[in-house]
Amino acid sequence: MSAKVFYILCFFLPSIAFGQGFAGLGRIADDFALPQKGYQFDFPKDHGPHNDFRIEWWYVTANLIGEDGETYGVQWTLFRNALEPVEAAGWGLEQVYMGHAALTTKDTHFATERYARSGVGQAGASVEGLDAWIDNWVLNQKEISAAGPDFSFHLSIKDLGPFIFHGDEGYSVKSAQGQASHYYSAPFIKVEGALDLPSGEVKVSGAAWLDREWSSQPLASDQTGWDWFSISFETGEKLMGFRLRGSDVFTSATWINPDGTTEAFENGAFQATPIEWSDTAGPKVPIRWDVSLPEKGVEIAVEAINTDAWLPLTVAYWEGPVLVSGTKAGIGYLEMTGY
Amino acid sequence: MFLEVTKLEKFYETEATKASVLKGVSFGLEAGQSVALTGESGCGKSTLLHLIGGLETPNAGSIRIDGQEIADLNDKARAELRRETVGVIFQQFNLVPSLNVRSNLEFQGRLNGRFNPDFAHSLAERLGLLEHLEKFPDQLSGGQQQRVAIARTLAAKPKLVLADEPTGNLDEKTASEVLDLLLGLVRDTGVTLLVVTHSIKIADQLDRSLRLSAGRIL
Amino acid sequence: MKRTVISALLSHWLKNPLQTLALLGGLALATALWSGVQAINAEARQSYQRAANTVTEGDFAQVRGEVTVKDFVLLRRAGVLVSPIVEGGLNGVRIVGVDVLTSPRLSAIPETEIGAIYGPTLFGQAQALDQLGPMPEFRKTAVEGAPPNTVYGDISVVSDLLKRGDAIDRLIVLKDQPRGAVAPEVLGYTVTPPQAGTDLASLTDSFHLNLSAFGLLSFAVGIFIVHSAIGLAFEQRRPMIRTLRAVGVPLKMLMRLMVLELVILAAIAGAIGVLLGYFVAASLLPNVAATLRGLYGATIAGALTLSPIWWLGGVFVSIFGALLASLSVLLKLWQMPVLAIAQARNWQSKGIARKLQLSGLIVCILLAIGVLLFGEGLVAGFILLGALLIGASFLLPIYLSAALSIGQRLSRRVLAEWFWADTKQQASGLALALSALLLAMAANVGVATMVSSFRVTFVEFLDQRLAPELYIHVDSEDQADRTLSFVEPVVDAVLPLVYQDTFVSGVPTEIYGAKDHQTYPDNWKLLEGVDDPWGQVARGAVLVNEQFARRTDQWTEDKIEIEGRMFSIAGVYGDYGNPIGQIVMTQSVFGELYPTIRPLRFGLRLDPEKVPNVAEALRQFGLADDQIINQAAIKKLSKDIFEQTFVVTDALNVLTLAVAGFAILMSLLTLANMRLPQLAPIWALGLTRDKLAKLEVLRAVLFAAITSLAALPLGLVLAWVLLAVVNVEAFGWKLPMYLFPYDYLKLVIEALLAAVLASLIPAWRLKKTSPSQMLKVFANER
Repeated sequence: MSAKVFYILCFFLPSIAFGQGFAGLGRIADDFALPQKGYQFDFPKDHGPHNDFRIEWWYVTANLIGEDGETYGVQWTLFRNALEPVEAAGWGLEQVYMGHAALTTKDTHFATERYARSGVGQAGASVEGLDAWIDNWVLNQKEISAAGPDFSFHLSIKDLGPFIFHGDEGYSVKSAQGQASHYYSAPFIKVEGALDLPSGEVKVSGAAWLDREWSSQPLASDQTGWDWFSISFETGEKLMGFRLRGSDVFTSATWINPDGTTEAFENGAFQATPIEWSDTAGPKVPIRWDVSLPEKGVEIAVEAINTDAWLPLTVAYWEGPVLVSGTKAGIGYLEMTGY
Repeated sequence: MFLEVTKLEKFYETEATKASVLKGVSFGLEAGQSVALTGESGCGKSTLLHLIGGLETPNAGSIRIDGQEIADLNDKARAELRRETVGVIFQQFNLVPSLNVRSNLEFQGRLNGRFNPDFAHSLAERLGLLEHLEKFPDQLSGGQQQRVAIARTLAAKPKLVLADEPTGNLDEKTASEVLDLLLGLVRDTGVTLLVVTHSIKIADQLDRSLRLSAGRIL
Repeated sequence: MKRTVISALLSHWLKNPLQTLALLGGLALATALWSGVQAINAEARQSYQRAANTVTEGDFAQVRGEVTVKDFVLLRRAGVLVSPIVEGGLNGVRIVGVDVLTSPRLSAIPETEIGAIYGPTLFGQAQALDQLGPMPEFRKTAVEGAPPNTVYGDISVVSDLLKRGDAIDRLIVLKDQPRGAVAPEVLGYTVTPPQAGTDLASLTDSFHLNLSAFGLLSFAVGIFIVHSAIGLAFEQRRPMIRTLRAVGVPLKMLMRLMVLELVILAAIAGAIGVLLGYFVAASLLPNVAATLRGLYGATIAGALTLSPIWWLGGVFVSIFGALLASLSVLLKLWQMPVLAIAQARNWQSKGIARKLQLSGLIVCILLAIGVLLFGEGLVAGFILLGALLIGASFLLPIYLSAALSIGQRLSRRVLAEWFWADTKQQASGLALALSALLLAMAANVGVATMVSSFRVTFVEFLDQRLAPELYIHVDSEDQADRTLSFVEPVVDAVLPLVYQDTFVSGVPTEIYGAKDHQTYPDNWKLLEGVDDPWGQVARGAVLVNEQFARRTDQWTEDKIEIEGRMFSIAGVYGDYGNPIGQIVMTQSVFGELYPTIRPLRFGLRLDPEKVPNVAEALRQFGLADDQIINQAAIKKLSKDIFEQTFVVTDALNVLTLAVAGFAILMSLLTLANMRLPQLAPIWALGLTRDKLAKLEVLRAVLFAAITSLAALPLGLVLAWVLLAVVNVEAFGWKLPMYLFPYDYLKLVIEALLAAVLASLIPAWRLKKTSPSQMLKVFANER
């Protein structure tokens, strides 16, 4: 579908609006459901869609090493955007799905997108286990795969690992005003598989990180975008931290121990400062950050592996693998929106 | 009276000025006469000649040639007059540049239908033009050009020949040769001749002389 | 010193307004025509581009037959990018539902409006939307570029409207498929190729080629005017230049200043020309727009924009033209010794001019022969054109003088004799203007011949190829059988259309199987062939198209091998616009070669008056609108395109002639003063000024007539080059050349008229010359 189509379609969708930054996420939820503190997660049902919420995503990033010794990054994302808080049937447009797939090498960045409506089954997610799809792109307990005009990838899941919950047992606050989402992750996924690139096939293995999040108004009205870090330290610990940019900066972080236990940090504990900016296929974005979580002794530099990991899609943003150095070394993924 | 000019007036008007050239000129000429019209430069003698030749129109007065009034003729009739009745020999630039001597010589006669090859040939012979017949005007000397003009005029057999300083542009020797030829031919053909000249020498060779001064015949 | 020199140079232009007018006018007109044509070209190209981008679902391969939503999801989940189409009719309007989320971009659904699709909204041309009748629950958005009589909406909207539930009619297959995607055929689906539209690209290109040729020639004509104006100005400024040089102005400075002066004048003229060109383009644009509407049913933005590039381009072209036109004059000035400058016309003496003309002519002839023998490509074609035109203009003075000598020799009366002699003498002064006329006329003859030949050929070709009154295509053999048994009783004949793509003699070729029916011998015109070629085809011979014959060099009576069998070629037919080879054989032989191919397309022969009824019956029977094609409509479309092309070419014809007329007028006016010594003696010897003036007009007509006489053959040679050389290079096939005597006659009359108009002012001025002015010629002071 054409770029403009979704651009305007999204005017109706308060979920992911762009153009005026990601501020559209801050619109009022109307008769959509709102995240509730103390919500009791119910699996496998919660792996499936929450159609009464406006926006939801299944978001996988993976740091991979190829047989050739090169580092690769892979992104598999399925967004669900509701025009009405009901399940769609047939050709109904109530639930619109958008898929993003990307593959980052040291010097190239591939990205592609798909759209679908769920009523006919072209896209959707199961309530009976982790299983989300759009067209032939799939994410389930066994595999992660997607294809674009010039690349495709197919990763087998060796071990899904534990699920962890962010914020207050999965209730993740996004602003001082209390905007929030339901947010859980599977940060310990082990994968191996193959990337199909114009230059040929590459066998890869590595670690993937699944984020699941849904809400109806995850941002405050003055918030224009966010910087999100998911870092895997060599020591086996992991750190999820985000920084929401508005009239004030709002941060939040989750420290994940190798055994899957977590510590949540409230606004201000996690700090991220842009150090160096770079041109991309889109706007200039920071590609080198100073990140700290003093309570965990974390003072690190986070640096993009490929500075131009801009996704020039209908919904455009920066998402790519990073290298971490400092008090702790590691790898991870960085997402920057609203630039 | 073959040519009768009565109270002829001619002036040139611009927006600001009015210049009277002829202020009531009257005179007469008998058929076969050769008459000189003399006067100082700018006295109007060329203008008088042009009026008689149907080249210009007078503002007042009468010109009768062989009983025909020509002063009030229209353009077309005056063109006919020039073609049929009068022959004009100018000081220079008489000839049609794009035609050769033969064609120039024959031109007026063929135009008015009185062309006679034998007569033309005799004229050309007498004027020494036979060897130049195929040449173009710009290949001839001034004297030769004037001889062609004379031959052309006489070959058309006009009743009246008007010559405006016919030798004025020629050196003395050539001038007298050309004049002799013109006068000889005029006498032999019996045509009436009016010559504008400021040369007394020329005037002396003619039957009589008219003097024009300040727009009037003295 | 510079300032003094400049004011001396410029004073000439102030004192000679006529020359200034000729220079500025000539340059401005040349620039105007050039930039006007460029503007039309650019605007038209843009619009073609826009129109060619009109995308409908028919531009894509489609999965047809019994397709359900399950097939859609199955294919999508197998990684094939397909998009569903729901189709139906309401109040005589075709309604198409597309999935806006998966559909490729279609022109009918504008980007800026689509957000409203959930509205729900319907899109289409206003007329189609109106015809649907009142539908308060739908928002209707008019889209100019939408296909006619068709309304689009999101599949959710249209399914509701047509009460179709989840059912779909077919799937379009997107052009760019992801890496590793399987073909739908592999999964057992039948894919029909995109609808083959009429290939209008050649038409479009030929249109542009004509316009470009016009632009170039008009500019050349303008340059002739400028050249004569500059030449004259130089002539008249000789004494001034001599004086300037004599008082010590360096030659270099003088040259620089003269060039500067030219550049300034040319820039002024160029700016005027751009404005004029704008008006030319703006007034012609409606016709171009109409052409495009005819071509694509698309509307072109009526408003022209005067972009800075255009201004710059126009001014640059004007300066370039002025410098080009003054090159010879400046060179002469450069080489001339100081004192020689004042010797009028020594450099233009007849001998040298004649030698120059002859050597130029020889160069052009050699160039033309060289290009014909060794040249390749479009550029070579245009070089040939240029060599022909310039060579012709070199030849013109020689030709004129010869023609006038003949007239002179034939004349008996003295006045006629003088008239011819005088005309001959004037010829050299008018040579440049007449060259302009020659070029203008030749270009018009050439382009008119080309365009008209194109039309005759193409219309014949359409008649040949589109003989059946109706065409239908069906989705399956089953539908074919049902449709045929329905339609056979109501039509005169059914001509199945089967074909197979293959390679013959190493050339990609389409093999067609044709039924043995009178339609073919009646309508197909062969370029060459044996007696009764269709009879031979019925007995097992084949016909090949020109492209195949040329590419393989196999012509009538040659033998070719197709799928292991030998066939004799019974004839060659013209196949305009087709890029690949084609072979026609009889249906039974085709069936033997390709037993599995069953016809899905059919031509129907029937009484043309019954066409609407039969088409409607077929629709009722269950064929979709896009499965029925009315031949008359296609033909009308093509013919309309030509009509509009002619409106524009005609207008440019007149304009080019007007420029040539202006050249003649300017030459006559500048010559007028030199004419007086020629005419005064004649006047004195007894011709009225009135008569002389009439002769002057007659002379101009005579010039135009003699020039026309040369322009006709030159134009025909030009046409030949355009058709047999340029066209072959540009489009890959040769067009037969036809002659259009009526058009040429009209053109000659127009040229004569232009000459009369151009001579009227000088003649009128001659008529009004006072006797005293005439007499001054003979007076002393000269």
